[in-house]
Amino acid sequence: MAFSLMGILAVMLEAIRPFLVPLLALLCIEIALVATAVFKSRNKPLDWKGSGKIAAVMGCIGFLVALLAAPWITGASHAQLAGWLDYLALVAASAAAGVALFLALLPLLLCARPPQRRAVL
Amino acid sequence: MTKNKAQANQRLPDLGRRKFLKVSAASALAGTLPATALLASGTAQAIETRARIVIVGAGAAGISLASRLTKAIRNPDITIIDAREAHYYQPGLTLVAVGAWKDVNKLVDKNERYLPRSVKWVKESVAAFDPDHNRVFTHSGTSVPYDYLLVATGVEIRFDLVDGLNPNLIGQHGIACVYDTPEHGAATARVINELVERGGKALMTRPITAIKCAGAPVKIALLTEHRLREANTRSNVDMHYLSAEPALFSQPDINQFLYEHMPKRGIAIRNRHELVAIDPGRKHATFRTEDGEITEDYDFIHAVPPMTAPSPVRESALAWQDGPFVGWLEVDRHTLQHTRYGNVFGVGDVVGTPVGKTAASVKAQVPVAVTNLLARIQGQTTLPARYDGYTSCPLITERGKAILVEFDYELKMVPSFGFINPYQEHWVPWILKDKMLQAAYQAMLRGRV
Repeated sequence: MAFSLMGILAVMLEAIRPFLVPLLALLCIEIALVATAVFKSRNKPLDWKGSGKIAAVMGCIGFLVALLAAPWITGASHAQLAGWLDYLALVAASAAAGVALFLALLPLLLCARPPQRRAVL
Repeated sequence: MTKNKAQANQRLPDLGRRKFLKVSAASALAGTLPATALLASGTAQAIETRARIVIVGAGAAGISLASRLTKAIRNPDITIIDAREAHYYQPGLTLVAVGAWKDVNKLVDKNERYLPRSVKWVKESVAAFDPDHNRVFTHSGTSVPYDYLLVATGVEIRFDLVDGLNPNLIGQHGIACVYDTPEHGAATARVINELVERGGKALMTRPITAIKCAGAPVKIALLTEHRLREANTRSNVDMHYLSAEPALFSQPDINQFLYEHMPKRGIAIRNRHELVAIDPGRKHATFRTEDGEITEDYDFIHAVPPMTAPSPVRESALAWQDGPFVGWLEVDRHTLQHTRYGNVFGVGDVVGTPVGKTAASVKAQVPVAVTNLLARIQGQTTLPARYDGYTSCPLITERGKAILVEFDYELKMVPSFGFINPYQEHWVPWILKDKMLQAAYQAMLRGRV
């Protein structure tokens, strides 16, 4: 049975439909944080490097936690994983969780951390 | 490239606020447009017709048909007839029964959430079909005329064909039955819990008739066995799988797999054992075998009743009058058009075809029936779309593992995802079943897949 791109998008939409309200709320918060960070950066540049580093570390931790917890969340155990497909799926899902955590934290950190002083050339 | 990246990184901190917002907005728009375009309905290709289309049955097949036809016809005249307002996600019943899904309400939905507003809904049951005069009669006596009829009634679960069995007994006297309603799924979960706690003799049955989700009886047996192992009470239970059929599964490779797999897990297999009577008080079950009737005592029984087409179909001229599918809706197995009444099509569990009483079959059948119906409405003599018998069963072997079985009329494996081995147990098909299939089902109801 073939699945079109539209079909896959439709299924994804149905999968997130119960969480649309909290997801949209989170998105609004993230946009507000980005806007705040941009507003703050009028005079002083944002601390992309420091914030990015912390977000990346948190993303890596999220990745590792997901790697350990994902089978359990689905009612399975690591012992039930069999073959490259299952391990690839686990790594991919965990990486997605790590990237999501990174993206969720970055605007917050950019907002929370004091802007860098603009370098004087 | 490296130099460009470095330049871009250097520019980032100096990105002006206005410029940043412009770039962000443009990127967001660019990212959204393709998805929006893809999700837009195809009204440009919609046809014009004043034909009266009647759909009987508002289950998975009926609602999917209504959704697709509404998109395919400009200002359609569609009536759907079904008394039920609740919609049950039946593929989730096994998950509730074995405790994988704790919340039974996850299975309960409303038809009105999925039915397009332009569809007229007659909230009654159909009592009789009169295909010679292009009309159906409801239980209140109302005559509903049609130009084209789509039959999607589903099956009738025939508790009455097993002496002593009735749906009120499910959840009592060790009687379980995962079919039909969320209440039955929840009651089955309670009885399985009792088995896990108390132990005893467990009988898992499968009737002689065609049944919807034919993998469910096997899944219940395997998942119950897994529950027992998880609870460290497996040694307290003597498990038997008694099938009225000569085989365990219609697809031969999976049949072979089960013949090897189930005994390894201590489940004794007995074929050609048809459950014909049950004595709940004494916990006795009677089976018809080639050597006559035998009676087995039990502490737990998963009693799967025979299934037939609902009586209004079964007793109408629309049913097969003879042959292997007698009583089921008579359709051409490829075009899904009735073989004697050209303005009648059938979809879903009710059709008399060799395989395909699953939600996955509905997903494959609905576009075929809609395309062929539209072709017929437009006066085409050759119906363009063909259903190849596609059906699918995520055969859960234990909680966390499944085999994604997909096959067609020829019983050939036809995997949708080439990277998923259809002969091996994997975690990925379990995730599909546990987390994604309900979303796919809902997208199907909305006519989007």
